[in-house]
Amino acid sequence: MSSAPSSSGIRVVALAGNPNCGKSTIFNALTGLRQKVANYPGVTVERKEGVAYDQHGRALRLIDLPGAYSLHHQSPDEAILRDVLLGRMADVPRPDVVICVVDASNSERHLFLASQILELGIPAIIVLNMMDIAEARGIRPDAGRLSEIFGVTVVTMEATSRKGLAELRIALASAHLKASAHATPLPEESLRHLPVLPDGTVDRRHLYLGENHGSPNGDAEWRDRITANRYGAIREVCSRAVQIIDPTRIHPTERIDQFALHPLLGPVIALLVLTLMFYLIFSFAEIPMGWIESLFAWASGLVSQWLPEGDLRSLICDGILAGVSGVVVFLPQILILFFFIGLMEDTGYLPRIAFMMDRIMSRVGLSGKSFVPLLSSHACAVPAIMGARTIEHEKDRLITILVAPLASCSARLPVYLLLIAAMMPTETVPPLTKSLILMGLYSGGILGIFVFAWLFNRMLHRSETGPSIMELPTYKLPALSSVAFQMAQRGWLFVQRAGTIILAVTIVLWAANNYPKNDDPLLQREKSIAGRLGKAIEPAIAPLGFDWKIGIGLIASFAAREVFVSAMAITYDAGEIEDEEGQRMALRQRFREAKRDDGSPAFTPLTYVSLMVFYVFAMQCASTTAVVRRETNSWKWPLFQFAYMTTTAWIAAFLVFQGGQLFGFS
Amino acid sequence: MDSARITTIDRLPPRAKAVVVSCSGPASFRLQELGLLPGAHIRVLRRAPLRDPLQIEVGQSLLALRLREARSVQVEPLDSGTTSA
Repeated sequence: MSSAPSSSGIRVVALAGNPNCGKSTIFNALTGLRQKVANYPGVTVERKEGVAYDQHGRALRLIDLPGAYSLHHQSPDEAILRDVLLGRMADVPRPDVVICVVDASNSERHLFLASQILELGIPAIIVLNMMDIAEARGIRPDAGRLSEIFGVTVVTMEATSRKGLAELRIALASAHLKASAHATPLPEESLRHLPVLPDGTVDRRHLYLGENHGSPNGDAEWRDRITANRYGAIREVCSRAVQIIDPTRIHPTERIDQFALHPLLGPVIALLVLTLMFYLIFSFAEIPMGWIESLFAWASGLVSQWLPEGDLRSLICDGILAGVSGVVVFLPQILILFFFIGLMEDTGYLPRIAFMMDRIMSRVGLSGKSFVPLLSSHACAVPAIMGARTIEHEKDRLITILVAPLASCSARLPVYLLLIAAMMPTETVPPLTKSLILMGLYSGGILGIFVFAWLFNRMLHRSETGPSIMELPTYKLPALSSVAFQMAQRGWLFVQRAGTIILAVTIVLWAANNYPKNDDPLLQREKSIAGRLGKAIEPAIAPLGFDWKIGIGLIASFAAREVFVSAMAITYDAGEIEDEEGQRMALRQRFREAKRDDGSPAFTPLTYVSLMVFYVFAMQCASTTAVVRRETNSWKWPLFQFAYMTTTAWIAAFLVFQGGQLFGFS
Repeated sequence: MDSARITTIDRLPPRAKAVVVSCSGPASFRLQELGLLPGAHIRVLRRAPLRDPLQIEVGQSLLALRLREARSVQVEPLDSGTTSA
């Protein structure tokens, strides 16, 4: 087979390799900003494609395939690798060239997958990446010898410092890229069993299709034999082409792991790192978030000066500007989280945290990899859900995404604080009681995460899950440029995909609050679509102890939970007070004095507790829904998430309110 | 091979070296593809702070195995004095 361009004229080149082989760094270096990230149809597996140029300046379509250990797939990610390479993926053409990326410091294991791919008959290039790490460890693969053995071009590389990129581009420019002629001996019966190609060799693609992996009768030992044969052949290759200077030398990573995974020191270090990360997302991010908010407030003020009061001004200020600001305001948290994730992934520390937390997460069927996303969800679910893409197993990733918004995020905090303050006068209730209530609310969210993760793990048999064997990659110095690149890319993806939905929802909510128009500004809320909706849902929320005014707050909260505070301020006519602290004080007072239509107090202690419990579990965040839609590539999961969380919130608040009344509380 | 000495990875103390005898169970394919083939030399490095999973070295790879999977790999311990090549 030659490497002639496919029908569209532009060559399709695929990058394949084990997880942690540096594939993505090479992809980023070759494509730069000319890449798009989407999902493969029907799964949450990320699809990365871009345009690269060979040394002659000809464009290539470069596909970064999911990392895998074997073509005998065990997870949806690995099935995608197989399907693309075999030309079975609907809208991805079979690659004209495949680049097999091999970690030079662990060539034996990486050549396992590479040799499987090389035997598929696709013109190929082997990239020996991380040559510097291999050299430091006294491992010297001989590129020339490997090239002789496999009959394909071999390029040595240090992708983090961009060494070897030009050589790879030169290799890609060659019109004479060949498919490897190397073939691992197969067990004899397969030679009779597998279909034969026109050139007389057996068609090895059938080893990776179907349940039996090419076995004539599907026996389990078959695959063991194929694996043993392949490793035997690779050892033979490595004995000729890889020189190991001192085999007894201690893995340098082990020196770091002695501290990083130490029974006592390890968790302490992890705690310090994660506390710093959490602090920066939770508190430090508020500084730039404040700037963004002031910037938009300033812009809004400017518009107000130039435009006469009316619908247009209101649309621009309260609809569009508020919407754009609501999108941009997430960026600091997203950037900080992805800075940490990028740094921890690049250095190899993230899998160590997963290793230490695995036991706890495995209790509910997840793995340690879900820990960092779920922790960061306590700051904000939006970056957390985007961070779930560090979880390789599709099922674990989906469950993590589904339960992440149960964590009490920073947007719930102002609501909790307002309700606690309104419920308990500062003069008579000690601060400790208030802190305990706050802790109870956070614990409720954590409990919800574990219960629902456990439940979904039982429910979701639909996708296969690979065994939970995790690799602990070698420690590396991070490439700051690639960390920065990832931050920028995630930020941009958020603005582009989720941002448009958030903006649209904000404008819809603005319209719902402002139309139809009412001459009396005091009646505007009540008579608007939102007000009518609040009234319409009153029968549904009355058993929870909420009247229609709270209903308006609940509906407004869907834009973002903290909007509850300002929506209540307007409903209870405390909205004119500019200063936030003053507004909160006034609102507290209004809540205490508020009466229902029948004259009874609108807020009793039980109403407050019921409302707080509702906020712990309810899915009231359009931004999260938008991000889940984007990450799962369907409306099915965000809608399911909305339904299960809101139902749980309703039931929990119902039990609190009705149960409380039964026991004589009011 | 002294069959009386055969044990499973989860029973090895930290720092112990061993030779893989066989893999069984649902994860056995993947374990073998990751290099835990009969005859492969492994070393247990440590357990996680909560005792599970454990970290092993096989070839140039560092892997985390849960006890469930470690239990499915039969090994023959090597005496600590013996150097493996």
